[in-house]
Order: sequence, then structure tokens, then C-alpha cells
Amino acid sequence: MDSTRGAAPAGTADATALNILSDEALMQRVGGGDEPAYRILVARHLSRHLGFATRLLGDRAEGEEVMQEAFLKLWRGAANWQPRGARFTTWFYRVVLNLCIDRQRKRRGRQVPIEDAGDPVDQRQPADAGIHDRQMSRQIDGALAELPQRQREAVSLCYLQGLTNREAADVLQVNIKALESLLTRGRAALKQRLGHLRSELTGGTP
Amino acid sequence: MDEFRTLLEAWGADPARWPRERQTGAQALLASSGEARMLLADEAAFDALLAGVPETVPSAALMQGILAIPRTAKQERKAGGWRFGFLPALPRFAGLATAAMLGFYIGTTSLFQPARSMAADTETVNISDYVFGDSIDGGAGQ
Repeated sequence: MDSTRGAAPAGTADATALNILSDEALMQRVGGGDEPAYRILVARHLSRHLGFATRLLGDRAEGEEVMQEAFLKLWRGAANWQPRGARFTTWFYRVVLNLCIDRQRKRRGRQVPIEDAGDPVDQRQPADAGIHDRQMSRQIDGALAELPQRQREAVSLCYLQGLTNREAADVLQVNIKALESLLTRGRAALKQRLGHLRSELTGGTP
Repeated sequence: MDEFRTLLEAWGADPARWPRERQTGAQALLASSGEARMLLADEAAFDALLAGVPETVPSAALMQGILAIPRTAKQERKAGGWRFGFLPALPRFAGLATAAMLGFYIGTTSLFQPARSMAADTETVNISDYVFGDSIDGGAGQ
């Protein structure tokens, strides 16, 4: 059995069987040291969470480091992980968010201005993404980077990561009313900064 | 209309995001007001703009590094975990040992030398008297 583990057909069969499992069920298996289950969680969540971390930190390299730390925490903590009613996604966003907050605190301690943190967008788009799309995406990320931290977190979770209101509120550990307030202010600031792109999209005046 | 605008400014154009208790009123307004529909279209364009941000593509190096975590963690445990696995618990054992020794010392000294303990108390009082002298009593008395 072990000798065939690395073979493509067996691996494919394993992956297919595991792929239908929920994140929570996979996490239980990871707790038992199941590497294929871990690989599926990586495949499902790395991209989205990397985008989230990169956007919060405004730096791709730091976003990547955060993801390495987050998955290390996932692997090491899986044996003791208990859903307690929360979804895996909510828990893992919370892990990533906390790691980002830690880094931002350290960064503030070092007194590094945000402008020195580097270009907020670098190599994030697929190679075939058009120049127009890349420029637009760069401007959106630039506008997001200028938002206060909590607003950036709320806007990213709801409008870019696609979490439901309840999930986003759980990740941020605020109630829906507070989330609404963060989104209202964040959205207004973004609209102001991205007015020219909106008019481009609608073909009218901003 | 103001309430509808407030709703859109927070939650965007997707009715699925709107709080349930405000959905019926918002839908009724949309059915009757052209201005509401224009506002909705405007917010929908903004939602589309944000949703159009392409997904972040992880580099091959990052993917390999993250996929290697289980193997690396197992190797680290094999290499260092058995030999030095007791290290994290060392401070706890040191604390327990110190507490035990201290307890033994206090227990033996107070059990077998009660007279000495009382003498120490008396001595403290005496020292206090010596430091403040008779002037305190004398002052209070006057």
C-alpha cells in the first residue's frame, strides 16, 4: 500500500475521495497526520488567504511569510482543533488576520512608514491578465492600502474574499452593526479614491 | 430613499447581503422608484469593480514550501524532539523542585524550632524600639 502511495493513479483516487470532504472533516484528518488531507486544504485556501494577507500587509513577500506561518500553525494545531460551531474558513481567516496584526504591530514598533513597505501589488495576477486589468487591480489595492486597518479588513473580507456578513463579523470579532459601520466608511473612502475607475466601468461620469 | 441609500452604502448592491429585516422595504422601493434602481445600478458597478480583482496566484516556491511543512515538521521532531523534548517542561520542573525545597526548609525550621521563631519576633519589636527610641512613647504621652 505504502509503495503505491506516490503513484499517480492511487494519489488521484485518494485526492478524489478526499476532495468531497468538508474543510472541517479534512481538518480532523490532518489532526491524525493525514498529509493528503493537508494538501487539499492548501489547494483550497492558499490563494484566497494569500490575497487577503498581501492586501492587509501591502507586501507580497510578507504575505507569503504569513501564509507559511499560518499553515505551520494549521499542521501543528490540527490535532487539538475543535470547530466549536465555527467553520474552518472563519477560524483560518482569524489565524491569518492575527499573524498580519502581529506583523503590523512589529512594523509600527520599527517606525517604518507604509510608503516604504513596497508596492502593494506585485506578481499577484496570472500571467495572462491584461495590462488594463493589472492597472485597475493595482489602483484598487493602492486605495485599499490607504484605508484605516479595520476598514481594510472589513472591506477585504466582504467584497474581495466573498465572506458572508456573519462570517466577516466573526473573523473580525465584532457585531453586525459594527461591521456595517466599518463597511460604510471603507466603501465611501474607496469610492472617492476610485471614482475614475467607476466612470470607466459604467461609461459615464463619476 | 435615504434609508435605501444607507443600506447600499454599507452592504452594496447584492440583496443577499442586506439585513433580512430591511430586504422587504428595499425591494418594494426598487419596484416603485427609478431613482432607487439607478442607485442600485451604480452600486452594482462598484461591486463589480471590487469583485474583478484577480485572485492571487501563489508562486511555485511558496506552494512547495507550504506543502513541505508536514515532512519538515516530522523530521524536526525526529531530530530534536526526542533528545530535547523535555526542554519546554524544564522550567516547570525547576519551579516544582524549588517549591518543594522551600516547603521542606520552612516546614523543618518552624516545626523543630518554634522558640527561635518567637524570639525573632521579639527581636524585631526590639529593633523597632531601638530605631524609634523612647521619644515616640514619650511624645505620645505628652
